[in-house]
Amino acid sequence: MKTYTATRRIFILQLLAAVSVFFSLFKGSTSFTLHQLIYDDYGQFNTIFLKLRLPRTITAFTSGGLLALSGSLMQLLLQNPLADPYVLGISSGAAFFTLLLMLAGASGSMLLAGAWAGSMLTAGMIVLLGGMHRWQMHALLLCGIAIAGGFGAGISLILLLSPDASLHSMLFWLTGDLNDAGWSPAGIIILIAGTGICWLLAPGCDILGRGDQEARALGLPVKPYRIILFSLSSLFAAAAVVQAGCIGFAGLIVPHFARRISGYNHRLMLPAAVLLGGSLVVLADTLARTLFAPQQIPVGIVMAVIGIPIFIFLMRP
Amino acid sequence: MIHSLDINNLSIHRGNKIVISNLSMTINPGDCWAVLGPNGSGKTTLLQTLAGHIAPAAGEIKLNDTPLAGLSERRIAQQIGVLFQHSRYPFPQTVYEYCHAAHYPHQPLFAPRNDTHSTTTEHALDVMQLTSFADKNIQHLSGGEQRRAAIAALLIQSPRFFLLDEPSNHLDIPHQIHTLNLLLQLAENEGRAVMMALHDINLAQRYCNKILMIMSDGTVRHGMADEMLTAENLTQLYQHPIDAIRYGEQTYWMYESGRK
Repeated sequence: MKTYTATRRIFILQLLAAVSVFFSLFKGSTSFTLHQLIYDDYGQFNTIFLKLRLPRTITAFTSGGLLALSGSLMQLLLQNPLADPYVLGISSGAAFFTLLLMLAGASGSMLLAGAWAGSMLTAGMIVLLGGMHRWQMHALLLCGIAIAGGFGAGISLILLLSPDASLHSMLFWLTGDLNDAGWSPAGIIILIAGTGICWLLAPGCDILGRGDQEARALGLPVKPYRIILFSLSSLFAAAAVVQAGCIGFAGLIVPHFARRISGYNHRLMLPAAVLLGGSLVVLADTLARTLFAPQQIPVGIVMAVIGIPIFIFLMRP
Repeated sequence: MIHSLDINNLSIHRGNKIVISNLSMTINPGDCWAVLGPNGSGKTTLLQTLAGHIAPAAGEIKLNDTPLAGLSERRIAQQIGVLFQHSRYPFPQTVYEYCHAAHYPHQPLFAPRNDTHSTTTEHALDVMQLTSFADKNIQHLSGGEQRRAAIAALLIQSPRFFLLDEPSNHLDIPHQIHTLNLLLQLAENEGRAVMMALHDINLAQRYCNKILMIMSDGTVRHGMADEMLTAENLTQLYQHPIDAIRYGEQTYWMYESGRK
């Protein structure tokens, strides 16, 4: 009976995802209707739709889904419901390495590989520091903030050394930006394959959150499990950063609400987080495009405005 | 198949301290062991070593004639279940979800849990009188209720060997009696073996047929309960005056209270 209501709630999430995608596709500095798109004599709406809106909406959705998955896994790995790639500085690590590679003239899969290396490195540092501080919640978050600060300084240095021409777009990208989103299959492939792998690993996730000892006593091979989830979580964060910059708070707040909606069974919870995270970033991006149209603001700023009060609310004991 | 947990010349060190040296014994089906010892004597360390979580400094533990060190976590969890002294619940989840996840070592790795499994879960919740808590968030339960949920999860895991670290912790007296009776029945009627660290000598006296004492100098004594539980042994074990009183057929243990 429990599963039945959870399945129904997931269906509602699917509806939410469909509605948010619909809004995103037809609203913007130029809004149009489905009718206009179908009977489009001059092809102008078709161009907007296919060249701008559709890739941008898909990128927004995959970024949100990736961040939500990454956050869900990171919270399990640290046994801490306030962990998230952005708060822990993992996004900053990925962004720092991406910028370095951009300066060196790299592109495409090289950027993704560099971002992954950066996010793995940062996550590794946090795990090391967390172990030193006996996994105290405040110590973990403070370590994350310190690491994020360090990478922030590094990012500032790169920006100062960059030519003026690229500065504006770099800044936009850093705050979380979908303006230049084009057709990039990497994010879609990683999200779909990643969700599948997470679905397979989900029963182990149900017990990993109890801590290593108890998970092991229930027969979970904790070490290989941790390494796999750790690499996946870093990869998801890196893929999101490469295509959309540093969008904060999605990875933090989405898992929390996903658990409320679907329950703690990760077979349902992780897909729910993907749907919810995708919808949230798509809606935030629609707001970012329309609030001050034709002026666009970075989606990361909209997410911060939504996310900060919720984060403070979740911080309470 | 005859199940047994064989311990040969086992030595356990913790840092520089020798917790246990040269222990040899066998835990057989039907046994209900109490592990007694003062604080910090190594009761928890012994239980965790027997569960394969801590590597021994020397000696060998064999689960059904196979060395424990060579078995996967999953194989061990199918046979040995552990109740930890403390549990953490960092994430909100219902009591049902918490307990249901204990099917993990028995279910195929990637398959979903089916209906037979949910019957087992419901039965275990019923046995631990948690049915009305099934949909409650485990984080909001009292210490005793969380303890009962952890025991229900252990019943669902259904191991041949139950290793319990202070199972009576946080439980009120009726639930202590209920839980220990349940464990004793598992040993006597279903051929499971139980080993539990206890602080209450009277519970050990009532429910256990075998006793293992970890003295503060690291030596271990073990044997049948009626031979081991003597005023002399217990006084020496805890370095505190302890005496027996008889009430009807029963023996009770009295502790010198230090007050007149």
